[in-house]
This record gives sequence, structure tokens and C-alpha cells, in this order.
Amino acid sequence: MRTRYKPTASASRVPRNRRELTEEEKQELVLSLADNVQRLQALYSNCSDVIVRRFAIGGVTDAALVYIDGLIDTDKADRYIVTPLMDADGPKELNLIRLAEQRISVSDMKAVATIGDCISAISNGQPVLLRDQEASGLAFGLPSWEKRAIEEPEAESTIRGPREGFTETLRVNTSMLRRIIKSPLMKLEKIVIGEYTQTNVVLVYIEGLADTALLQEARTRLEGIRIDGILESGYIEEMIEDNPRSPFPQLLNTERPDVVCAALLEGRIAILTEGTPHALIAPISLFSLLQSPEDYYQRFWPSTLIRWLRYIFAFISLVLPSFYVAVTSYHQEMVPGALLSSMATSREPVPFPALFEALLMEVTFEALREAGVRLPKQVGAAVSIVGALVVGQAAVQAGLVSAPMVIVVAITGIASFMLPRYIAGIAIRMLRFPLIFLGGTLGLLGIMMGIILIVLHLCRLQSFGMPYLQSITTMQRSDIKDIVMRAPWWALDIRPQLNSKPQTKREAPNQMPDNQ
Amino acid sequence: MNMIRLVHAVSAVLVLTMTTGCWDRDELNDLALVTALALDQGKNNDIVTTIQFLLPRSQSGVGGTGGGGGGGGGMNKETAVRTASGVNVADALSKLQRRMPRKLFWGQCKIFIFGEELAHKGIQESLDLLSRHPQPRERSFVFVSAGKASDNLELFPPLERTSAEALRKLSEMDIGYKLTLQQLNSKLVDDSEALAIPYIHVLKKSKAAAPGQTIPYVYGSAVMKGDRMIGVMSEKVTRGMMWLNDDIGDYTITFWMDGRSQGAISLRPIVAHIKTTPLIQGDQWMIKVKVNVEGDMLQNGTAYNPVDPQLLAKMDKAFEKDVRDRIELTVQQAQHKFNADIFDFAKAFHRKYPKQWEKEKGNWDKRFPQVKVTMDITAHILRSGLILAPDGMPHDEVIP
Repeated sequence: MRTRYKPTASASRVPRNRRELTEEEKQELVLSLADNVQRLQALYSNCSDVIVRRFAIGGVTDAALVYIDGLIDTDKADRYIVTPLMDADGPKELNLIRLAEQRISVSDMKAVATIGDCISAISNGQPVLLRDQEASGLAFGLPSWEKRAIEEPEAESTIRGPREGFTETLRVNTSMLRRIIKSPLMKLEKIVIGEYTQTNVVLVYIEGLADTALLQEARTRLEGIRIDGILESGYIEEMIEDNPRSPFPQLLNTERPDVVCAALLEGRIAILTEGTPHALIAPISLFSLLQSPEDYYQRFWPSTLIRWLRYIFAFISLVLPSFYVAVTSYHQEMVPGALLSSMATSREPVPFPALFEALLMEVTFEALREAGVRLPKQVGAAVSIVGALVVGQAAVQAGLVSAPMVIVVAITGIASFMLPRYIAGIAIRMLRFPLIFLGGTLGLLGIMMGIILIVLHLCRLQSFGMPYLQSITTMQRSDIKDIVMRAPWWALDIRPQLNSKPQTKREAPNQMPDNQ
Repeated sequence: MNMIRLVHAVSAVLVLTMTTGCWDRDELNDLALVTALALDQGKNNDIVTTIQFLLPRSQSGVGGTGGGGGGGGGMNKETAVRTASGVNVADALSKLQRRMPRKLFWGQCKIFIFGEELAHKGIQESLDLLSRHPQPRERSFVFVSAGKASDNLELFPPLERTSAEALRKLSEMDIGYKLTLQQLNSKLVDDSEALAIPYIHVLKKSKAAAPGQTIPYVYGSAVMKGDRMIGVMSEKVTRGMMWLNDDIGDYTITFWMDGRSQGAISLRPIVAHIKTTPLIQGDQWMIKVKVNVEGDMLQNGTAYNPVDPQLLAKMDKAFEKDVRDRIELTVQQAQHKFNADIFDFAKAFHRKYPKQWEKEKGNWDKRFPQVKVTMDITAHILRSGLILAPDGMPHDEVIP
């Protein structure tokens, strides 16, 4: 990673809205059960979902179980915590931990000593058991709440490859990762972000593969976040990006556990956030946005071809409308004669300049796309019909736009959807508009200027300290193999270069099957 | 800080695009796409320019622009012509522009035609504009027209959309003589100061065709001495010139066996390698032509069976003689009829004998007719096609 890290987030940012732990939260539990319960109830005043169940252990010692209704499995709590304790008839002087060891058959159990610990346990679906004459309590892991089933990720579907996607539940997500990477070297570091939401965020990496400097940087950046709440990983993404104003995403977001695991195996890190199926991956390069997981599951010939198709269409999606505008309004001599005459014919009834025509159509297309995404599925069909009829045909027949322009916009739209990462498609679609404008005012010269600016920007861009164009600027043979083509797996024997350290092997030598 | 830089950048872009941009912009709707330009000699030494331009609306299909249904004589005219005259080409064109509501666009103009009369007077002055103006293409084709050049533009080809397109496609087919503006420019300043320009005629229209429904086509060439036309070479002589210039492309050659007594043989395609070497021996300037030519039999009008090596050798001989006759005829005409070095022998001598050339440079007009051309021709018929003996001929009539 060299030393090109910027001043770390926490060092440069003054924690502005950091809510220190309140006095109540810092307080230790006391011996009196009544005091403890009363203090918890004071904190949870007007919280109708908090339940305090008082009972007597073995009919003698007063105790209380505190939990939030709906977050725990009440049935199990009754059966494995409350019932055995009430039935207990052991010596009274046994402390709570010894008692639990003998009586309570819940495997996940930990001691809590402060009010703050109690609150965090309670809100995470762990019932807290307090006993009179004891200045600590026990939290049991019995979380259970309604969750969505594991489904196929709709935004990243593949023909060949696993069909499961992350859900909103962090534990389910981490379990999916652990099912794939069983080595204990895969570490999941928990960080809590969000003043009010107290969202659990997990930093995932494989020890030994992920660079320690990168890890340290990720930790510092994550810990530097001071915000009232994290509702989606997008909050985190925008708070830890290297270049917050760039149109290009510097972290990859994915719903697929297999994509996360592939990244981990390459020495990258992943950030999982409670409450969203979208995990973040860093560092990435421009080409990560142009790669689909399926590239690595299909055989390498089709993968290579499709990859090239993608590169071509990414470029088309960026420049085609502006190129068309520039050529029809400045460089007519560049078009073959027969094509120009048919273009002239179809442009004949159009009253607008090509620039305006292009902007009109592109904006309409973006509107249709956005409408298609936002509308309920049942209405979606209506939008596409109206879009196809109105924009496709009626506009041409009414002489508002020319047929070639409709074709250009359609191809561009399809091209931008060809990118496997939705976010990358949007970045390119956004840049298309300034390019159209440049093409319409300065011709090809303007487009070239725009492209040069974009390339300059890409050259400066970094993702967690890794240059965005790393693989092509260093011309590392092992990296190029995965960009110019998708080399077969037996040839992809070296991990991609993410930092200045020597690359590591991921395969034993001579893995190419013998030619029988 | 960053915000200020952003504002600066945005305002710089706005100033760049808003205050300066767009002045070069020409929407397609504001352009007249010129497909061909014809230059003719007018009265009082004027130049008459005629352009042919595309009518973008007349195609069927797109754009329900209404308009009076069915207009003219049933033929769907896709081009129109407009004429103006002036002191020179630039003057005439500027007058022409005044009669056109759309800006003339030369970027797609690939045909320039000189009228015969103008060609006789000299074309150099008019060419200057075509090369100086940034829009016309160097690779466009140049022709001299029999009669008035503008007549070629008012034709409506049955196959192509414009007569200019028909001419261009004919030229690009590589079977006849063609000359681009760039070649013309370089040939005009060559040592020989002589060249040939494709000569076009209007093809006689078939009986059923509507008036004007025909195309111009290349037949023969106009021989130019300097920039002035001095005569017309027939198609056969033009082809002879192409042989000598090693320009011969894909075309069929037909020759008689033993005069006209035995019938004709046609061959194609011809693969020809021609090498010309200049040689000066004493006062005798010579050009040695080495021709190596091969062809496949296309039609055999003789009774000879080409499977017989002896007969085949005979055919080869006849083939060889035909090639020799063609070249000789051309050389003869160039040297004695026109005295125009259309083969650019001058350059060959200049290259190989620069000193002698320096001395003889001014004297080339006298020297050229005396240049001796010797030929070494190897001609072979390679394949006889799918059949051997002449088809449909009784066996006993075939000469074995």
C-alpha cells in the first residue's frame, strides 16, 4: 500500500456529534436488584416493547429477566432460562454464573457488568438476567426475529453460479461467508456505528492475505464515522471513499456472498452492514466494475469474449450519443455517403438541432428507466409500452426526433445496462451528458477533451490507496491476464497486485491439465 | 477551497462553450449534400459550374411531410442540379451559393467532371480551387465528359440513387481506367507533362426507360498535354495504356486465333506482371517491357481442345500476340498521334539516368516519339475451366 494513505479519517475529522456514553450507561450494576431494574426501567421509560419479568430462583432469590419483545425467542427463554431457574433448589449462595452453568441450557451466554452492557445486549435480542445481591448479570444469545429468506440476488443474476444472496440479517450473511470460507483465518471484526441505530458493521478479511496497512486504514476510517444512524451500506461507502466527489464508485457493492469471498481470497476486505444485503468491497480498480462473477464460472473463451463485448459497450455507452451529435453537426464528411444521405433524410423533418435532440432523448430515456425502477411491478409493463410507443415510434412519426437518434439512444441504453455493476452503468450514464454537450459545442475536439479529462480523473483516483487504474498502469503480466482476457483458472495462479508488496501465489505450480 | 476550484472550472467550461462554441456547427438540415460538380466553358470565357445535390426528403418511408402527392413523371427524383457561371470556379460557386437556401457541403462530393470544351482550354486553374478548398476530397474521381459536363448530372440512374454514385461505383469496380484528384495533381507536374483522364459518355437509354433514366459511363480517355486536352483515346488504346502502367485489373480479354479464321477465345481473370525498364544506348533511348500474364479460359470459340499441349501452346502464342498488339497500338498512338507521354516514361528515364535526363529535359517532346519500346511477353492460359473440348461440338469436329 506504500505510504500514499491520506491522513486517516479519525485524525482529520473532529468528532462533532459524538454522543458520549451517558452517566447512566457508564454506571456499574449494583447489588440491589430493585435498584438495577429501576435504573433500566428509567432508561427504557415509555418503551412499550421492553419487558421485565420478575421471578424467584428456586422460590427464594429475587431475579429479573429483561428483554425486548419480538427480538428474542420467548418460548426458549421460558423453557431454558426461567423454568429451570424457578425449579432450582441448589444452595442459595451459588453465584449467578455457577448457577447458569448448572441449570441453564443456552449455549450463548456472557456476563454483563454495566448498564450500558445491559442495554446493548437487550437491544441485540439478548435477554439479560439479573439477580438480587449480585452486581453483574448474564446475557443470553436467543435472538429471533422475523427475517427474509435467502433469495436470489435480483440485481446480480447469473446463469451459472450460486443463486443465494445476502439478506438484511448480519448473522445470516456472515454465516453464508463462513460456509464458503471455512478457515479460521477469515476474521470478522465487529464495529458499531451510528449513534442511535448502533448498527453492527463487520469488517471481513482473511488474515495473511489482506494487507495489514489496508486493514488498519479500513478500521480507522470505519471508526472515524460519527453519524446518528446507518441504514444502508451506502452511508458507510460515502463516508470512507478516497475521493468523495468522484462520479466513479471506489467501493464495490454486491449482494453475492461468492463475490465477497472471491474478493477476500484476492486479499481484499469486505464490509458487511446489519440491515442491508449490500456488502462493500475494497480496494477495487476500474476493471472490478466491468467484471461479472460469472466470468469466472463459465469457461474462459466465452468469458473473454463477453468481457471484450462489455469493454466495447462500456465505451459505446459513454461516447455514442456525443459522437453522433458531433458527427452530424460538425463532421459530416466522416460519414459514408450513403449513410449520410439516409441520415439527412430522416433528420429532414426534425426541427431541433442534433444536440438538443440528443439531450431530449437521453433525458427521456433516463426518465423511463427511473420510472421503470420505481414503479410497482404491475405498472412497469405500462411504462415500457408507453415508452416504446411514444418514444420509439410516435416521436419519429411526429417528426420530433430522427430515427437514427432513437437507435443511438436505444443502443446506448442497452450498452449501459450491459455493465454487470449497476452503479458503474450509472457513473457512465452521468458522464454521457457533459460529453453530449461537449460534442454538440466543440465537436470531436470537445469529446476528446472530455475523454482526456475523464482519463486524467481516473488516473488520480484511488480506492483505499490503490490506484484505480493500477492493473493497466503497472502492466503487471499477472493482472493483465485477468483484464485483456479471462485467463483460464490454471493460469490465474497469482493474486492481483493490490499494494507494493510482492504478489502471492494462489495455486500450486503446473495446474494445467495434461493434454490427453 | 475545493468549491471555489469547482466553480472556476465550471465557469471556464461555460465560457468556453457558450461564448465560442457552435459557430462551426452545421446541422444536416442546413446542408446541401453535393454529390458531383461539373465544370463547363461558358460564354465570354466564363466558367459554368453545375452541382448535383441530394434531395433528402424524396425517399419513401420516414417523415410524413405530406406534400402534393405524385408530383412529376412518376420517377422518384433523388437529386437536383443547379447552375451558375462566373469568372472562375470560386466566383461561379459563390454565385451558386446565392441560389441555394442551404450551405453547399463538399465533404461527400466524390465526382468532378470537366466539360470537353473546358478541358481543351485547360483545367489547371479550376483544379486549384478543388485542391485548395478544405472540403473536397483528394480521393474523388475526375472525369472529362464528351460534350457538356452538366449533362451527366441530370440523369437518374435506374439502379443507383444518383448518377454521381453510379460513376463512383463504376470507377471503384477496378475494371476500367480511373483517376483521382490526387493522382491528377501529381501527374500534372510529372516529368512527362502528359496524362489521360477517363472520358465519360451518357449511356444511350433503353426504349422503356423514362427520359433521363440512364447513367454516364467511362469509355476511353481524354489525352492531356500539360493541362489541355488534345484528343480522345479509344477504350482499346486506353486499356493498352493501363497494361503498360501495370494498372490492369480484373477484366476479360478476348482475342482471335490465327487472325479471324479460327474463332475467338476469352480469358479471365488476368494476372499480369508488367515491368518497364528504361535503357539508353548511345543516342538510342529504349524502354524494355517485360510482361508476364496468365489467364483462365472463359469461352473457347475455336475447335481446339486445350487439353492438347501443342494446341495450348498455339493458344498461348495467340494470347501473347494479342497482348503485344494492344501495347504496340497504344505506344504507336501515344508516340505518333498525340506525342504525349501518357506512360510517364520520362520519370523512368529521369530516375535511372538523371544526368542524361537533365540534358534532354527540354527536348522530351522530340525525344519521346523516338523512344524504342521492346517487348518480352510471356503469356499462359492456366486453366481451361470445367470442361475441356469445346462444348456442344461433335467429337469428330474437335481438333484433338
